[in-house]
Amino acid sequence: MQLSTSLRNTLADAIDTAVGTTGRARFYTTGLGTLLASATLNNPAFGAAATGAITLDVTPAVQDTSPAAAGTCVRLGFYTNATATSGAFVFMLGVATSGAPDVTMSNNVIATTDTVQITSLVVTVPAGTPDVT
Amino acid sequence: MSSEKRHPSGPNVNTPRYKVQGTVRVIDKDGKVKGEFAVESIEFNEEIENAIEHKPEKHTG
Repeated sequence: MQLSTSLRNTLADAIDTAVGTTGRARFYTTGLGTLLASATLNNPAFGAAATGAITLDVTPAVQDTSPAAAGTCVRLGFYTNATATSGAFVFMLGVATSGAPDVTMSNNVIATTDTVQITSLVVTVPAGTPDVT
Repeated sequence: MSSEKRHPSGPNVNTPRYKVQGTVRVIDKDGKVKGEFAVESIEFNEEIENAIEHKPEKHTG
């Protein structure tokens, strides 16, 4: 299936709409067991879609300067607010320590004295291709 | 995460998948960057999944 650029933009903007005006990025340990840190998102959280992609607004910085707990972060979830249950995410990201990502992770062990900061995030709706096989 | 997947209900439907690229930085109390890591996968809630998933219609005729 191939999507038009217009539809890709619509779907990408739907993510921003779903996150809403009081969104939060929350960092968790495995199994969403412990909430390590929580960063307030800007309003709107993302810019308008272009070519099927939306970019997180990181000005002012999306960060938590006083994490709630110490631990190893393996999940980064986006939520509509600070009090949503851990399972009530809008979308959930896996955090990589090795493999395909283009940034080599050196430390995802968060201490309560650390600052956890999202420096960039782009969500893309791929165009796809028609499949006749 | 692959940008496409084969729909389980049929062999000929490619469904585009969202992908995410980004970086998160952890800075210690002295201002030193402890590490940066990339996000590599994504899972959406059912509402968004339903918006992007191709739902084959049943043909009775």
